[in-house]
Amino acid sequence: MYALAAAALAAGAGTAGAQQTDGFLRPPTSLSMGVFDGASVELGHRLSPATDLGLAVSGRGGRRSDRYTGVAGASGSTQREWDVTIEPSVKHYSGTGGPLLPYTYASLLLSHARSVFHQEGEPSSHFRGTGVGASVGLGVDWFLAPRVSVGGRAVLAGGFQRTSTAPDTGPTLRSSQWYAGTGRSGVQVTFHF
Amino acid sequence: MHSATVIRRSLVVVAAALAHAGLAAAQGDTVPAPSHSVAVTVGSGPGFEVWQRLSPRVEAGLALSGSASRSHGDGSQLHTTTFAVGPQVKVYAGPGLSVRPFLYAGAFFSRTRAAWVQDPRQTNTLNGASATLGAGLEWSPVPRVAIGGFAGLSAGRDRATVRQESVPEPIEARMDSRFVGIVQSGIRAQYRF
Repeated sequence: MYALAAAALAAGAGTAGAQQTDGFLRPPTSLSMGVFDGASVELGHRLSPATDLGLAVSGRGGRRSDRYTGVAGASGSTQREWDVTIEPSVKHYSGTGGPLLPYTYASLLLSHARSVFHQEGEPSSHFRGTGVGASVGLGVDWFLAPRVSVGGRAVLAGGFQRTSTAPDTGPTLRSSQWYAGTGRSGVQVTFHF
Repeated sequence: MHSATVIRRSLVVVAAALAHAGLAAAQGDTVPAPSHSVAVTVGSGPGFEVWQRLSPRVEAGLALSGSASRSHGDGSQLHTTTFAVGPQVKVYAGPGLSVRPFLYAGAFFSRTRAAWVQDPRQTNTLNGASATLGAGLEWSPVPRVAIGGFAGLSAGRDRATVRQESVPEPIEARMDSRFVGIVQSGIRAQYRF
């Protein structure tokens, strides 16, 4: 994996040199994807030569049913669930132009998840979780070509999560959690178009 | 997929691509546009892909992966086989660009079977099918090599069965999952020849 990334970077470096890449001249729209990890998709929009707005979105929904048969008889359960995470962000580039642009970064993180679990012969259980957070950090984008950059960032992140689990009959269990810590984006490839 | 396998495949593809690209450049690259290609995903992914160019804007591909293993221990044997195949198609916005946007459609079918040869015998089977629609971008740092990826929406279904041949009657569990969600391909390297 790292060999491939290194080879791509080396190949791109030659291209970048030949094209006299300047990250400040990038096209107005961008799509970022993680190289080694990350499930979200991040779209960016250039507000000015030094400022980008971004929006990362991830989400999933589904339904699962289980059925057991054996000496003890038969039983089954179903679970429906979905979750969505949205992270609007802003990048502010600094430096003197050229292919290597450091930037400062800030984002908000909003997440929501719900699920319903039902075991045959028993009441259903409803789960709900909501999270709000923010992060600030520093990063670098290296423009291998006018339309392609490779980069990453390190951040300080913090937030609040609240969850509740409510059976059809019985009391609702609630919990909440504050968190703060360091994080990183992983290596990201961004296409500008 | 094991990371060492990914590294080996990445090294082979990159080495072949760069060597061929260098040779092509030395020869003036006067050969017709290549119609075949292979691709690997950087990081985890479904084995490798083979692609065929159908027209200047359309490529059709097939993702393939498979494995088989047999292990022994404590009087039992575990036989495991996995196989997956996925037809795919990409429609490019236009030829001749260093960064080419494309639309993507693909399906993926997988089957995994694990059997414990012991008393009682147990068999696990997992069948999966999914379809993905998306849009992506590819960048060619050198001729014949493209690096890119796509993001989109995927929906599918997984069905799993666990069966134990116990006495007086077998025990069986069935799981059925349906899902839909936002996905991204990760970064892919594609070599055309």
